[in-house]
Amino acid sequence: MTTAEQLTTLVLDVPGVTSVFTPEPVWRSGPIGRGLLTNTPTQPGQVLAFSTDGGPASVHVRIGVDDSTPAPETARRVAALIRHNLATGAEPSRSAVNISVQISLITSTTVSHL
Amino acid sequence: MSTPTSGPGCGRSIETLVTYLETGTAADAAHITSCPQCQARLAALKQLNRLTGELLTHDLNTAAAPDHPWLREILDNLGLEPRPGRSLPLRAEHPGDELSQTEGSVTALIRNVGDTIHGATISRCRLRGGVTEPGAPVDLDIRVSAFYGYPLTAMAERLRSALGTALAAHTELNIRTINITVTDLRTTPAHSEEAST
Repeated sequence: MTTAEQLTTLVLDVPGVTSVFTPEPVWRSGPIGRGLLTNTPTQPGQVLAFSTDGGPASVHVRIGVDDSTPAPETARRVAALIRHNLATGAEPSRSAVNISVQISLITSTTVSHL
Repeated sequence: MSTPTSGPGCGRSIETLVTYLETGTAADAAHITSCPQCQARLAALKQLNRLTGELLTHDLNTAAAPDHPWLREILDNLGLEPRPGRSLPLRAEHPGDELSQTEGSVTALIRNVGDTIHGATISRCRLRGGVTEPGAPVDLDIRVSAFYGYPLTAMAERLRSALGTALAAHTELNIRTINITVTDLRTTPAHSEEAST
């Protein structure tokens, strides 16, 4: 399992996270994405972008959350979990890590009146 | 710190999403199932379908005929919401973290809240002010289509209270005002049927 796959699985286990969306095109082609992307949306099961070119590692993840947990808190938990995992995982990162977490969808767990 | 939300938006039309809801398939179904903007608009369309009872079984243009201006406004605004919008910064606990939420996610939240209030359907919502600046005051303008017969003032107060609570919990926006305008009144589908028999 790649680092991106591992992180995606971890993120989906965070309370309040309902989905992990594919990175946006700008991520894949933009300044942050010029490193060696170990992940693209065309690879099934890998939707979190993790890149490193020998310098600082970068992680970019777009998530959907529900309203069972305050959304900003969920985003902070996701970032902290990724950082912790990269620091203590099988291949701990020794360089700086930049983590970008974007909430792209908030869904409701409340039953509608309709 | 936040970065601008990227991209021109996914660009899928509301008609494409309605077809997807009706048939379960689409030429680019893979995109629709993995796009947060499409998912938010699908959720709104499903809610609208429950509201009207028959929207998705009729041609959109017929369903949104001139005698249903409120429905046309909702569909028009859903059609305008395929973009993630601005990137709203969230406080990070580590200097190497960059946390944000899209304006589109907040719009979806606002619509979700509206669906929990009896008698109200949010047809349009706009955030005004410094949404990309932490702590800057932000005003929220809401347009509502309401069921005839519901006490409007009480409904607006419940909606304002629910929105305030939800936005305080799920965003870090400094909401200064929540302006609610009831733009039209309508009868429920059941009332319409009764009236026509």
